[in-house]
Amino acid sequence: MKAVKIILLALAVIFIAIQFIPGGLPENKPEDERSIVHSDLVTENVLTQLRTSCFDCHSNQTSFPWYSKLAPTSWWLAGHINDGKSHLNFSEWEDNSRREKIGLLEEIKGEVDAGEMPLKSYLIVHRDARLNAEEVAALVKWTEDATSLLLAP
Amino acid sequence: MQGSRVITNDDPEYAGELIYPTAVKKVIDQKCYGCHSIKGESQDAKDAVMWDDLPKLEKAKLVATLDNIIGVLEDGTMPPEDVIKKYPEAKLLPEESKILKTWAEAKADSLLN
Repeated sequence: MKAVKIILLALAVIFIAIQFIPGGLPENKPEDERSIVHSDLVTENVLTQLRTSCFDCHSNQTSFPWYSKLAPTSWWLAGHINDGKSHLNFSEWEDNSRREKIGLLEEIKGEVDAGEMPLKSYLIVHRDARLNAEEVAALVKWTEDATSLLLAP
Repeated sequence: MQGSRVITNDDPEYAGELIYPTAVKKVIDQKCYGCHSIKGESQDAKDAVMWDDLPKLEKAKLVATLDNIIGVLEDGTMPPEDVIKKYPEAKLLPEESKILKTWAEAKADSLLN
């Protein structure tokens, strides 16, 4: 019994201790004029979908759940979010050239169409972010429409 | 520089035929073609870029593919590390990377104008 107590106490100490290790979670920033929310490329419907299904990892507007502040979950989430934003950050959309936007839209289309995005692990806890077939089709269509707009000088 | 035509393009939407200049084609042949052609073994590689098929792509897809190529060259992620480990001679030299990148950027720019 004593051994169990010691182990539990040790685990508790470790758990508390790791809370002081910086987790690397990015800070949210106010949206500025670079955000896709101000772009002519998106409709209100598309924007709502992006906010619901993509923004947590692909914008500066993450909704952090309570467990995101707790190590070791925070480390894992930080890795995902930072990685996601390094590939695509809708809050900094206008930093991309026209060519890069077309490249990103093609990538979005491929990922969404193949069911690779949103990530399965994300969807387990964010059921509202799931995309049904209709929503996938709408996003795919949006990437094509937006690309056409970008190609027309 | 003399251009060597790989495949002609008959899509009227397409902004000019895609020509690989000799220097560009040489780099592609030596460093990329093993995986990014019909003889490649990795489906992922073939799904991403098929050099012989670039001229057949519609404009949007071609710009996106060129953007992908430029990104990979900027990040230095191609050829992949495991390939270089196995075949050290596959490593892309800085000047080779520059030749490809300069060409891809110019091609993408011409498509966007």
